[in-house]
Parts: sequence; structure tokens; C-alpha cells
Amino acid sequence: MKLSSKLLDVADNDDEKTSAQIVASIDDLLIQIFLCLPIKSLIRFTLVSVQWCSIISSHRFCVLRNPSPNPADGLIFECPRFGYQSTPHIYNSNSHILFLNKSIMSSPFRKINSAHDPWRRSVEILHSCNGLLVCGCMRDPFDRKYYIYNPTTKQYSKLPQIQPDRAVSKTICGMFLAFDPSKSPDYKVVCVSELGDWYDPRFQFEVYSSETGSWRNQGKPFTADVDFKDGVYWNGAVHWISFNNTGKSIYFNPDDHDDQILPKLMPTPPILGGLDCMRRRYFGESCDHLHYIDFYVCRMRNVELDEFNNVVGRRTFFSEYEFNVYEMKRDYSEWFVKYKVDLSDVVSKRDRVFSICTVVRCKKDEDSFIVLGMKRKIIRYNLGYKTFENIYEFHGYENHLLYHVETVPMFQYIESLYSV
Amino acid sequence: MVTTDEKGPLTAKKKSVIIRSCDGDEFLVSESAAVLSTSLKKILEEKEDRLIHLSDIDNKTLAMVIAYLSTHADDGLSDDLKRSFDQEFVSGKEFDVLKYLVLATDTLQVTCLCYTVAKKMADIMKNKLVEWVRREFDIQNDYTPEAEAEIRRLDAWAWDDRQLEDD
Repeated sequence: MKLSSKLLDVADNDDEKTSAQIVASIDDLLIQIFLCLPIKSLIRFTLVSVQWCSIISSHRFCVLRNPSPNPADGLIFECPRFGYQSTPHIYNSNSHILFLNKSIMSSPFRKINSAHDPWRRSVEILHSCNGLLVCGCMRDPFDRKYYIYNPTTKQYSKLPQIQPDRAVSKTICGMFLAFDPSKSPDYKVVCVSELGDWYDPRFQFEVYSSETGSWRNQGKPFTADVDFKDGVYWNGAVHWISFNNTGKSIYFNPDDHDDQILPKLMPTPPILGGLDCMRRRYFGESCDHLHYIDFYVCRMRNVELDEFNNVVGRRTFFSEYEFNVYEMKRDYSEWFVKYKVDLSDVVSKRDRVFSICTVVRCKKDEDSFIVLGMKRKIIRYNLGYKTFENIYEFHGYENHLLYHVETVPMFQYIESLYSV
Repeated sequence: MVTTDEKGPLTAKKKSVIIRSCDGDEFLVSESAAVLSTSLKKILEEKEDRLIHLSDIDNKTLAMVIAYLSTHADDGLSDDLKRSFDQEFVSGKEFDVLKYLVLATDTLQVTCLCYTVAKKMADIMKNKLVEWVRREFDIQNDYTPEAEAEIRRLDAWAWDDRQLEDD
């Protein structure tokens, strides 16, 4: 009464093999072990054998390691150094106040620069998307170079030059990465160029595909009233918000191959009144949620407030401590209030909030937090627990009265092995 | 050692199956424990047999897997106790033993044990040198010296040899 199991083919056919060889020959078992290894070990183990290298660098394994949606593993921000120097730092959100600038960020940007670029340390991060970054070497306006960079593996690839148009002048005003690893290992880069004259600006999308390795014009030239520097990738498209009450917010899906296509419209979030210099806005994505915040950075004195209310013809409530975090519904039907934030209990009057660096959503909603730029420091305000903590202090800027954290762009960092 | 019931499947209140290892030892296991293994469950659904022969799992490994299955099938134990059992189960085990275990969990398709063992193996491996890994997995280096040097150069940051262990 012996039942031979069909499952044991490996052992039956290869009597000579050791258990070690069998473990190593079953990809799924190796993947199971690899999924428990830290990224540094994984990168080291690509050297074990060609087979191990191909498993670890396969897109299938990368996606298993970073199941979508991806919460941020850290924050990348550049410390301003006055001039063009900058040193990227990473704040690890898992382990509180740990900056992993030694092991994770061993000056990768210098590597790009010294290898390919005569201007050292002039590379800027332009956009971050699912673990990859678009960086630009912006120093020479006539010869800008753009790179796709994985800050975890330190791999980068240079994008081909965008061909100039002979008929009209063309200025690049934004470069965005569209990368959804759960859908495809290939990424696209959306470039927005301004065409023609300053008094009649029209814009054109060009899309680079890593699959074809080339740029192509996509859609017709169009007019728009948005700031193309602040684009956000979410839901398969790049989004831009109008910061005027009258303007229209738009989005563009680079997978849409219709040559006649124009950017689609989406609802503009509720925009506060008031002068631009009194307001700060934030527009960003985290863990597959699109967020928008508009808030006041300084309280008006009563006289000014009266004057302002006379101008706008209504009573407006001003507070530098209260604001809403809006989130867009996936069907673009509306912006809804996701969080009501009141910082008056946690932020002293002296510590003025200057900017909202980023909103970080976590797997558990109550773990989500918001990163605020104060004078010379960055704090984390936990949206669920309504607590806050200092996560970074800038030193050496005491003499620079002009320096505010608001000038620091911040990007969410996701540790990944995606190849560029 | 147990003997099989010649009259067919055991008719006791709690059904049992007999699992025989490759070295011929037999283990009596309650059906509720056996079905935690997807492979055993399939075999039991397909055949009336109450004796299952596993030709590639040795005595020692099978005993460990069965201890695991029986503990997890015990309704009297809380999830917390089961979790601490899992921790205890893999702690202190040699890498060699874990290799046999992970293979057995793959053959028997016991997902949660596979994860526990894989995690323990990863914990041991994470700070080891590549040479150690090649030795333990019996893998021949199939890179050319040039290719190896190139990989080491590209990922230099991952190669802080001071912290790595070779035993």
C-alpha cells in the first residue's frame, strides 16, 4: 500500500543532488528566502551566481518585494548649501530619526556628475515615482541632461536628448516619471515643453518610453494655466493643479496614444483666498493617494484682515495652524477632506510653520503623517495620534536669515530594486 | 511504530493518517494536522489510502514538520502561543537542518512554516559573505573574473566586508 507522491520528482530524478543544490534549484524557494533579506544583502548576493542575479534583478521578484501600493521608506531632501551644491539625505520613516546618508546615500549624485558631467554636484531631483527618480543636470541651459536614477541600487540611465523643433522655440518646463511597476516593468517620462512666444504660450507633451528608448510628441499643443513644475503621478497619469480660482486643473495619461488628445480636466481643489505670499500649497501623492493642501503661513493683523475682507467682500477665517488635507477620489468626481489638521496645540507660537514638505500615507491609516518645514528644522506630525516630533535640524544656517525650509524640495523614497 | 488498519481508513473519532519517511519510519498524524499541508490534503482527497509515503523527506525532518503541524492543528492553543512556538521552532537550528526543512515545507506545501524557515535562513544569511553562501548552497561560481569585478565595482556600497561573516 505504497503511495508514490508526484510531488517528489526533483528528488526522484536527481538522486545525486544534495539538499543544498535542490534548494538552490527551486526558484520559488529562493524567492521566499530572498523576500526576507535586506536590500544590501540582496545586492551582494547577485554575485553568488548568474541564476541568483537573474532572480534578484527580475521584475517579478522586484514587484513581489514591493507590493503595490508602496508606502515611503524614507524622505529624500536636499540640504541647501547656497549655490549649486547639495547633499541628499534620507530620513527613514520606519526607524524614526535615522538618516541613512552613509549606507543608502553614499553620494550617488556625485557619481553621476563625476562620470558624465563637468559640473560637479549640480544634479537636481525633479520627480520621484515608485522608487525611481528623474534627475536633471540643469547648470547649462543649452545642454541639459536628464537621468532616471534608482537611489537604492545606484543604477542610472541617461535619457536621450529631446530634439529641438526648428519651427518654434521650445523650453522644457517639467519632466515627470510615469512608472507603475505593478502594470509594467517599463517606464515613461513625460516632458512638458513651452512652445513659441511668451505672450501666447502653448504647451506640448513629449513622452519617452523605456521600451522603445525614444521620445515622441503626444497630443496636440494646448494652453494651460498651471505650474508645470509641480506635477504629480497618480492613477496612471501626471496631474497639475491650477493655483488660481479661475484656472483649470489638468491631467495627462502617457499611455493614451491618440495624437489629437488634449489634457483632461479635473476638479480644482478648494483654493483659499489671499495673497500668494501668505499661502503655501502642497500637491503630492503618497501610497496611491493624491493630496492637496492650501494654508496660511502668517496671520494677518486685524487691520489687514479688515482690508482684505473688504476687498474679497466676505469674512474669511485665517489661521496659520488649521488646514485641511484634501484627497482626490479615484473617479475624479471630487476632492474630499481626508484630514482636518489643527497644529495650535503642538506648535508653539514661536515655531512658525513655513511649509508642508510632504504628506506620507502608511498601510495603516492612523500611522500616516505630515512633514512640516519650520525654521531650520523639519518636524513630523502624526495625523492619527496628533503628536509631533523633530526629525531633522539644519545646522550651520544660523547666519543665513533668508534660509527657510520652504525652499527644500522633498521627495518620498521607496527602497526598490527596479532596474532603470 | 504503528500498524495500518487492514480494514481500511481508521474509523476512530479523530481520523488519523500514517506518514512514512524515506527511511521507512512511520508517523501517526491526526487528519486535522495533515490537511494543513496542501499536498497531503490533496492526496487524502484523491485516495482512500491512509498511508502516505514521502520518498524524499527523512525521518528527522518529517518529525519536525509533524510536530509543527500538530501544534498548529491544536485548537486548544492560542495564536500567541502558536507564534511563540514558531519562534522556538526555528531558533538555534543549524543552517543544514533548515535547508532540509524548507525543502520539506515546499514538497508538503506548508506555507506558514515555509515562511518561518525562510525568514530564519535569511536572518542567518544576511551578513554572510558570498563565498559562504556559495558553500552552503553548493553553488559553483559561474561568473568570469571580469564580470565579477564589474559587479563588485558597480555595487561597491553593498560590499562593506568588515561586517560580513564567513562562518
